[in-house]
Amino acid sequence: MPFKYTTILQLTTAPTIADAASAHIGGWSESHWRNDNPDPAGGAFLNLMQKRAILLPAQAAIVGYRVGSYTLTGNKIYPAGTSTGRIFLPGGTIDCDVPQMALQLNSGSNAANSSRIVLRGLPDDLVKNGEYAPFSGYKNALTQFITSLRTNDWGFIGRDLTQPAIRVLGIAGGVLITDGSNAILPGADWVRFNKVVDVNGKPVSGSFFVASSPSANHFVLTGLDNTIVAGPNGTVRRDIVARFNYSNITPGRVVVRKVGRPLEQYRGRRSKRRVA
Amino acid sequence: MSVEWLRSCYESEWFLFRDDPTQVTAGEYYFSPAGTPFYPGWHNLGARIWHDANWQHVQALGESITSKQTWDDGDVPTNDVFTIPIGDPDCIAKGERVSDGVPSGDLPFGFADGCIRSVAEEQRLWQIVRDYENCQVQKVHAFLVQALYELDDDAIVKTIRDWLGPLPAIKIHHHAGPRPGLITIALGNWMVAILDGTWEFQEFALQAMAFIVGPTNKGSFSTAELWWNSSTYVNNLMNDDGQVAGGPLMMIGHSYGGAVGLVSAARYKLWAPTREIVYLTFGVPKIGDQRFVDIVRKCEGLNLAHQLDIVTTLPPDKITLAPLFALFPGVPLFLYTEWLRPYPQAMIRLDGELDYQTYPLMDTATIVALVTQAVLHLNFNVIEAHKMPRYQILLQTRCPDAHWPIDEQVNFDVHVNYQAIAWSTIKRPRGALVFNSVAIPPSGATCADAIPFVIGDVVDLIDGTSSATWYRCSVPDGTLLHMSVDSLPAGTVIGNGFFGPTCLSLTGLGSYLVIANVVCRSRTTSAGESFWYLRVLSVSGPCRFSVNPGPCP
Repeated sequence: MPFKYTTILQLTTAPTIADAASAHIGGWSESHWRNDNPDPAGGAFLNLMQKRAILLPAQAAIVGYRVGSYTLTGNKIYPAGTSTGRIFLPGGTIDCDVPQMALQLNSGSNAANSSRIVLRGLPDDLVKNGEYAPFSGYKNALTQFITSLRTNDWGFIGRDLTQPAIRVLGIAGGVLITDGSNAILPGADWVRFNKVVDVNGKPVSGSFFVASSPSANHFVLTGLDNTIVAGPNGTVRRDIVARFNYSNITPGRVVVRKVGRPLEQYRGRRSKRRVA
Repeated sequence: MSVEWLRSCYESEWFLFRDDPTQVTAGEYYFSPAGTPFYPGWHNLGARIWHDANWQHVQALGESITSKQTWDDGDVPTNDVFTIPIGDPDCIAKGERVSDGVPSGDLPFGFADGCIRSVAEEQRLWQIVRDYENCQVQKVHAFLVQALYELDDDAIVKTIRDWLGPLPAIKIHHHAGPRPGLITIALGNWMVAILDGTWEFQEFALQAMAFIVGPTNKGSFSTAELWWNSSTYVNNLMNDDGQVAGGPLMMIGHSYGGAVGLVSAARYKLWAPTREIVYLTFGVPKIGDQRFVDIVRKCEGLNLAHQLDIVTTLPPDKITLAPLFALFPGVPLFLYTEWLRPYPQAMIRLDGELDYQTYPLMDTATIVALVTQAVLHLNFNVIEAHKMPRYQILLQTRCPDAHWPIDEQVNFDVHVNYQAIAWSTIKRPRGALVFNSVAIPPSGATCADAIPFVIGDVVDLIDGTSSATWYRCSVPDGTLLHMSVDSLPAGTVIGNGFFGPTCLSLTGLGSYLVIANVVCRSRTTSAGESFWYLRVLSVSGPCRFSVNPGPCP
């Protein structure tokens, strides 16, 4: 059973000239997945949060966490409860500017699946001439964070792209015809099409349940009764959501990712806070 | 307890029943006050906004993925609620059973009615605790100050619980270096802050004397630098303990602590002129300049001065100092005269009466000795009458009839407690104890285990004096229960309930009067008078409101 560990981060700007600006607060979250039982108060998650906090500017801090448990079945995610808590891990010593820069880390799990980890709230001193330019101390801290991610079995979830793509020969009357079964299981599997267009030129998208298999290459799919695909046309693949470990994590490039309202765009009104 | 991180609150629907996935329950999020702890376990109350839209989530327990979310301002729809253990971790994590569900119509705003904090009850307790002119209240506060000096936390907590019951939050901070000790009592939006001095309090009370200086200008008023700094320290502690900005506040202190309390009161009053600020001080020296005195007068309170406590007259005034100018030429004794006494100040005479017209007097020999000690930087003599126990003795003299340490409270209606545990001292019974609340039955108990409670026979309770309104109630474990119930004759069955070490619950519908789980003990005051104290756990109300771990039909 995978668990999604979410870190709650907050950045509070600090005007140095009181009559020129006022403080703003923005927040965001970062999530990583693990397979074992959660231990937010210690262990791998705390270690990860501590390593992450060092990378934050002085105006930012980790203020809480959230752990959600899930069950992955086929292409479905079953939420199975959450637990939340408060923690305070202040950021490092480098000041921030307008908190809009983020560092993108690239991670590959296998040949097919990869993930991009985005670390928001990147201190401005780490960017020179528009590109990531860490000094040695920050580079070491980032290495420690990456090591914590890699060695403690952190990962991400995604569609399993290692599932073989099967050539689609046609669809008619709700029946998919392929050039091979490749262990598609009737009554259990869902499939997803890739670059398949029907006779009207419209893409066939979405995932479809495999209800039965009249023969080795024929599969009855639910919800495709009115779709007609003629001739070899694109591929189909078992639709499976799985968790993958991070591996080969490398610093990528600086990207623009603002942090929360009001430092980012409007996303609906914020609730009124009660006066304490 | 908090259950989720949200920026916006909203209304939605939740699946909460493990054995019926079709039932949805309407609910809403509201912002919990700062500092509210998170529920530490697993639950299904999390928001679906945390779900990643890239994936197909399948509904089990938790917030309905398809329900419409309606924005809400995050205000709690009614009064605050108490944190009450309801259910068990397994139930919260894995879902409730339909059979254990409570019709939402019976739950005001989703909470068992016993969880709803009663503003009326908060105000009732505030009116009791702020009654600074009441000799009985003065005695309790004096006792608490002395207990703080003695680091007797158990006595502090017990006395407050005896007095105000289980609702107020109590925090104790012992003195640290030059900073005074502090007790905070908080409930709802009000807070009471009780300060001791320091163990060398006389040094601080006499510091203006010792350094022969006037009060330090702090902008809006002048006072001692140390008192100002300590008021900042105390304010930080009060904030940590949940002080509500603008809420009713009472500052109580002895000597240096009283001065710090008045400085705090003045600073709060300057910040929020309409805030209700009450104070009560014992043996406070002169506090500062005229501006300070004027600000304190805008608060409401009383400064008590023992008839022989000359600390309350320090630094000395012009008339007292007059003979000394010649004795100490060149010493700027005139600076003493910048210090003014707080108003109103009442002198407690040795017979216990309050005198608002005169102040403690200092004879010439004493003032000469004090000034000599100040000029030569010698240690000051101990002033016995300044000590807190001396004030307690005078208060006991003034109101010996009041029950120590709590006045009788026989008629009161606790309609807010889920488990109402109240202490009451009863000397002269004046009616019935009425509680409207619900308690949790013992784990595994059923209504078949209910035990009838019967009003017992008239007994002698107080010092061998028979009283027609005292009854003895017996329960099966043989415990004798003494209580006062005017309206119920002996032999009356007052309800069926569970009786356990700490819990009781009624089994039927309707309104009940129940008094049970009463512990009697006697206590003798310093005047040699004995009182009985009754600890009462009592409940009434329909059983079906008992949201509890065990089944309750």
